[in-house]
Amino acid sequence: MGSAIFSTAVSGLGAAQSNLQTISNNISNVNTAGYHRQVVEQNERSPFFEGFGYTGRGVDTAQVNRVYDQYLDARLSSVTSANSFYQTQGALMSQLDNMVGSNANGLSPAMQNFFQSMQTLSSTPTSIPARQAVLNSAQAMVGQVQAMSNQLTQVRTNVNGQVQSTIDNINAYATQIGNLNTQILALSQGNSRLPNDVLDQRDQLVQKLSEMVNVSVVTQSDGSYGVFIGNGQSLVLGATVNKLVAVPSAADPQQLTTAYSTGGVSTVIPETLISGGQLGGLFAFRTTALNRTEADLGSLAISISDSVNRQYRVGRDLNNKPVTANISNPALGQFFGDLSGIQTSLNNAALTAPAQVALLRQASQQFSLVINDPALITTASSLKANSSVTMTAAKLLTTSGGANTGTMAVTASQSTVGAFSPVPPVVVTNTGPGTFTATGGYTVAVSGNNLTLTNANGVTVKLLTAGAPTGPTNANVGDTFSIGTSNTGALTTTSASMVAGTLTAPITVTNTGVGTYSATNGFTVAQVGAVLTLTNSNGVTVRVNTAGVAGLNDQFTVGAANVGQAFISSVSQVAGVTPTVAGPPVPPAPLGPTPPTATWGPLTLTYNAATQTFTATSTVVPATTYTVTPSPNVAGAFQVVDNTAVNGFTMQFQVSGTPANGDTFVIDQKALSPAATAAQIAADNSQTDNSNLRAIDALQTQNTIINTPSGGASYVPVGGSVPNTTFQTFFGQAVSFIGSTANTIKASTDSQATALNQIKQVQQSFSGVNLDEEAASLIKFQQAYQASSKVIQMAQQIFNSLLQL
Amino acid sequence: MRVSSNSQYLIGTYALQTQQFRMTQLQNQLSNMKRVVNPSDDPVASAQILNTSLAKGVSEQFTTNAGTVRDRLALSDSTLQQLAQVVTNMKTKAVYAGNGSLTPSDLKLIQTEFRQQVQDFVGLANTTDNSGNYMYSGTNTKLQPYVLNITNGVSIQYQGDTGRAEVQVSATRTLAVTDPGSDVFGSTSTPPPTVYLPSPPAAANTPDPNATSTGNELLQAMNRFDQILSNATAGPLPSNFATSLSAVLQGFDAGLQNIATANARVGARMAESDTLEQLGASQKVQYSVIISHLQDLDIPQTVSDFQQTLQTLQATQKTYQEVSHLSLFQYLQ
Repeated sequence: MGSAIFSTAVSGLGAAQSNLQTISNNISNVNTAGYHRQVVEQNERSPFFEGFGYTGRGVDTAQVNRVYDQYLDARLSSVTSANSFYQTQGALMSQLDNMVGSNANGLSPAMQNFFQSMQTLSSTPTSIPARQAVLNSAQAMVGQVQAMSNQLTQVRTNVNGQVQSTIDNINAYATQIGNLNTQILALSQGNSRLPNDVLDQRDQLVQKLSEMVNVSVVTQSDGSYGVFIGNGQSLVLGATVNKLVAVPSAADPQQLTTAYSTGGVSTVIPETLISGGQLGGLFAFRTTALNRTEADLGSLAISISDSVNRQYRVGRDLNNKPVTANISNPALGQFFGDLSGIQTSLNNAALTAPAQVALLRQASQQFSLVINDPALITTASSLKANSSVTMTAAKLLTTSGGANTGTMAVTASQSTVGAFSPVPPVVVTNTGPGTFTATGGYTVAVSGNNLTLTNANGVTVKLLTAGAPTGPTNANVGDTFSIGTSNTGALTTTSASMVAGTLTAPITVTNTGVGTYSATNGFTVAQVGAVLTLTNSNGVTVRVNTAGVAGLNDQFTVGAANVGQAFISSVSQVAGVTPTVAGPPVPPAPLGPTPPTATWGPLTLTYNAATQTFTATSTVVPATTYTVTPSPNVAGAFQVVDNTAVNGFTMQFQVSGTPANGDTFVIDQKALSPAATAAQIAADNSQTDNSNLRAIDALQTQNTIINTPSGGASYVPVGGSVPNTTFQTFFGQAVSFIGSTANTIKASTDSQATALNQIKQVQQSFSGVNLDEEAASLIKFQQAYQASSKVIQMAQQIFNSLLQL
Repeated sequence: MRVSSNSQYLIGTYALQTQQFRMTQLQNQLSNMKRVVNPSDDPVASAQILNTSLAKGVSEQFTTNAGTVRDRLALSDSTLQQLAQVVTNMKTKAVYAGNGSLTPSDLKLIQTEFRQQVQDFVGLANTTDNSGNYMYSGTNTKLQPYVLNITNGVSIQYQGDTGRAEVQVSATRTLAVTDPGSDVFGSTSTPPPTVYLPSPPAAANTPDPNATSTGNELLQAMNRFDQILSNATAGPLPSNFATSLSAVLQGFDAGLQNIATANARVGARMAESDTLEQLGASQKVQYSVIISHLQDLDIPQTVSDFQQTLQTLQATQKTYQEVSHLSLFQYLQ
């Protein structure tokens, strides 16, 4: 019986000891991450039958369990994953946010300065310091775009670095989990006797892995963990570990993405499948915020470069030179570096969003200032207006072709200088493609569809040609054209003048007999000596001075001069923004057609007092129609649109004074080397003409750019979109996008942090160690131990007293 | 509910961190005196601030431009007044020349003085501004607008163009800072192609030497006045002297009228630029107020928030300290 007390007491001692052991382990691990408190499970031993009944034989320590709830821990790891997902994004977003936050040093004021410096220049276009200021502010704007682009590149490099290190961490944790799987299998003594501390370590690794990426964990039948990412790719399966690798994305080699490596073959995991954790956060930040910001900056650079260059190229510089004349390579004749190549590449509907970003990033990196000489800024228009149309009187010219093989025909003549009355008629002969000779001491110059005959006395006649298609190149070698007058008499008109009233349309006068004439437009003709007096029923009277004698049926025209006191005070071409031709892909911005083109010719504007508008005609291109409307950009100005789609261009002109009905104005291009002499070029050099500069400056407030499509599926507007916003509003929207994204992520980060805190509380209140509780248990088991010791002492005393009997 | 020792620390640190973050935010706002420091502070407001700053900048530039226009026009205004004075003096000379008692030598003297006035006139019409640009040569401002040849009669020819330098003063409004001389004074002193007196049939073949063309009356009158003075000093007074003189006076009047009209246009543009400058100044204030509303800090509110957060933080620190001292082990001796 005595020995039974001993063994019972010893079992009590043992139980108390293992409890104390466990308690001290709990206390020691109070701050160990992932530690689950452990409790000892103890059972009564099987009793002993003593005849009167069963007596207890002590206690057995059954097993040591950890207080563990797999659902709580799974919840903890998913919240940890979400938390680090938002924290990673939040940290990167705040970099972007800070970058664009300080608007005092930002791109927006730089853009504003650029346009303001042009405003300043427009009031003093000849000032070299003001021109230099434009270049300086343009350089500052370019610098801002590049600096921002560089910062974005740094952020991207940073993201790539983090992707790499996150993947390294994932691989390290996965390897350790694989090792622990093996170890746990070896250490487990049946299902109930598990190596708790190793299990804790493995669970902790799963938590850490969750911080990196969202994983799903499945416990296998042998107790080992299977860890899966994405849509079921196994990262760990028992002892087998399949590693992830970081690979450059195919669409954009500048961004690292992740691939799954198994059996030496790596397969790229679509980024959309990687959710949660740092890795998911990095990918999400890149797709939602970084790509969009880079795309916005690139689009802005392309749009500024395109629209400024287009307008820049249609003007004249300080020395009345067109842009192309300044540099040997016309492709270099630009204000900002040409980005149209990138623009062309972007208009491929098959491009993925990352590939678009790669191109747009290139655009912001290549955005540069090309022009370096302040004199080259094209402030002036390349057009001029001739308002002083004087009254004319001229012989009608006739033309006839020989037995020609080519299709060219001379259809009309116009604007003669001096008396052109060749007897015999001048014969023009084609000597090669576009080259002609003429008889009678005349030389022939070809300009567009015009042939201009000039002799040594300065007598000049301009001829229009026609053919199918139109033009001097349609004459064959040897073709001849005879230019003369049909008039048989020698009468010439020397001058014409108004006596009373105003003449609004040309009159044709025909000789009907000796001293008798008829005239068109209701005029009657009286001849006194060498003077013809033309009068109509309204009292409009014209005098024509003549010399010589008229032949029967000879004809003359008398043209009208302007009546009103108006003149055209400025005229310029408006290059506009990227044309909005319907249907994808968006065409790259072609540079505006710079006069002269094959179809360019002086435009004649005729005023209609009833409608208060003008009609425009070109004698060179009769097939082209023009629309004249009030300008949408400048109050009181007019806009002329060439309706031909191919060569279509827009001009804007301002009229000073009030024209009379039927007054005409001629718009021509300014003198151009080498066709014009230095003196003509100097005479056309209107240095304070700032109309082209004003057109560049107007781009600031015009809709020149299309909003970036939202959603992130594409960063390039679909074909046919119409520019709907200004540069600065566009940038404002980019800033607002960064701000609101950062704001949303901030809010999500906060709520996830709260959720994480709560789940940690719950998990800790279940599995965490409470030192006070352990202290109480310590006392409890200390007392139990002391009690068991006392039992042994008591048993020994009983035994001793028996021996002393 | 069971509380683990770690929970106490977790709760404490979480509360401390949240409040410290709020403190830094408020401190950042207070040190910048701005409510919106980064776009994420208020994305909508930050975009509005950018747009409003843009509008403010554009408006300020237009105001500056209006000032430039006014200064440039002021110069033109005073020059035009001087020119009108010169033409008035010429007219006085012409009236004086009509005095029948004058001898050819008196007329010779008048011609000398008149030619001096013509030189004054052309000199003034060739005025340059402070940048050395001719004021009345249209946009071809490096080219002297008027060329005077006085050796054989008075010949004045305009070389400039008919362009005007316009300066943008509002989104859709431009104001001209120059006027082409051809519009103000005329472009040539050469008489128009032979014009016949309108009294058929008897005088049908008599050319009118006093004819002028529209817009060029002033210069042609100068040419004609000099011509009749030359004719008069060469011999006895021609029979048509009085008629011609009256035509010359008409020409001077038409010229004065033209200059006055140009001056009135300049005055109207100056008035408009003044108005625009005032409008610009009030717009600037408006825009500043909008920006201030959008980004400026509500100081009392923020300071009070700061105080509140500070107190909460202090309370949390105190409770944290108290709770962390609680341990049963302290009583186990």
